[in-house]
Amino acid sequence: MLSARDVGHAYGSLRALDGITFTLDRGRTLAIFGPNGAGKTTLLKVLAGLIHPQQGTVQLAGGRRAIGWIGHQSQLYGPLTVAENLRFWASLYDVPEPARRARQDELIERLGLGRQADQQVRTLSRGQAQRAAIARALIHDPSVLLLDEPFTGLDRVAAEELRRLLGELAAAGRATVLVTHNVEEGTELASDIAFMRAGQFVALGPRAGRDAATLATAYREAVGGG
Amino acid sequence: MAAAGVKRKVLFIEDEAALQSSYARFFSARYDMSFARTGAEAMQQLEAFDPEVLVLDLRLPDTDGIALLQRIRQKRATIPVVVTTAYVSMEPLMHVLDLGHSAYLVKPFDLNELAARIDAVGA
Repeated sequence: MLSARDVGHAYGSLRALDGITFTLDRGRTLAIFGPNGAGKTTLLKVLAGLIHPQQGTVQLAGGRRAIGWIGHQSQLYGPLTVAENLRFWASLYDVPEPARRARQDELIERLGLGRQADQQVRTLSRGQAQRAAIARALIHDPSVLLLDEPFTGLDRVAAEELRRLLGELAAAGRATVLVTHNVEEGTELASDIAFMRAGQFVALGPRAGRDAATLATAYREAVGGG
Repeated sequence: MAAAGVKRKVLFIEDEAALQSSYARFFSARYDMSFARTGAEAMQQLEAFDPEVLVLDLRLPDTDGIALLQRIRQKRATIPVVVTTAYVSMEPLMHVLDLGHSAYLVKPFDLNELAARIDAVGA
């Protein structure tokens, strides 16, 4: 469904990505852990087609329309309501009208945003805004989700809700790439794990049931930084 | 820990000639060094040289590095080992951690980083 082969990219003399290779099938979730500056966000942008890598190839079934992106920014318009935002993004993805309305209603209900649907986004709590951002990312029914530090700023309850939702989306067959600097946050969701340092994967493989504590130890060993 | 002025005895188990040369140039003033290019040589040197620390590459011509580390552990259960590897796989990392008293360094790495690991393990 999504694969990268020997992907490399540099910003001037800084090698941001170096020889990144992996394959991700539907229903799998790859959690990429790495410190700030390891190249995680650059990799997500390459996978999303926002950056054309200087080396290597990315293959994605369905092309860029297959991607749903959840990043640091909600990409929602504060003065617009949740429903208006979803309508706007649906139009950008050319989701036809009958399907758009059904999809919008389904997402608003599923994400527990029924009471906020007609509320301006700028009045939402952080957790509500994050759920609205997820609805925005899913409005065109993408088959691949790219998540950049999705738990940042969420309280424990909102983070748990997000984990549950992402688990459901994976169970429904979506492939997900999640990047974070926090091993504790992403482990539970992951079917596969990668540790990233200085633009390279230094470990990659199935999680195989390993818990966050075990992986945190392995991460410190492979990536360093205590 | 070695006494002040006494160099630690480090056995480098590495079959790449270029890396052996780099190690020799970079570390000769710092450590009392010996080299092994194969698993068989490593086991021999473990007795003859009696190192305090091992630097072990996981890819060797005559044996799998994890299997060698298991054999080493049978002889020297707690000797510190810095494992170096070019493998980008989770499994060897987990095996090495399970075997204990080890550090893990993925190639390519800076020699200063290797020195830091050697000095840290078992210190």
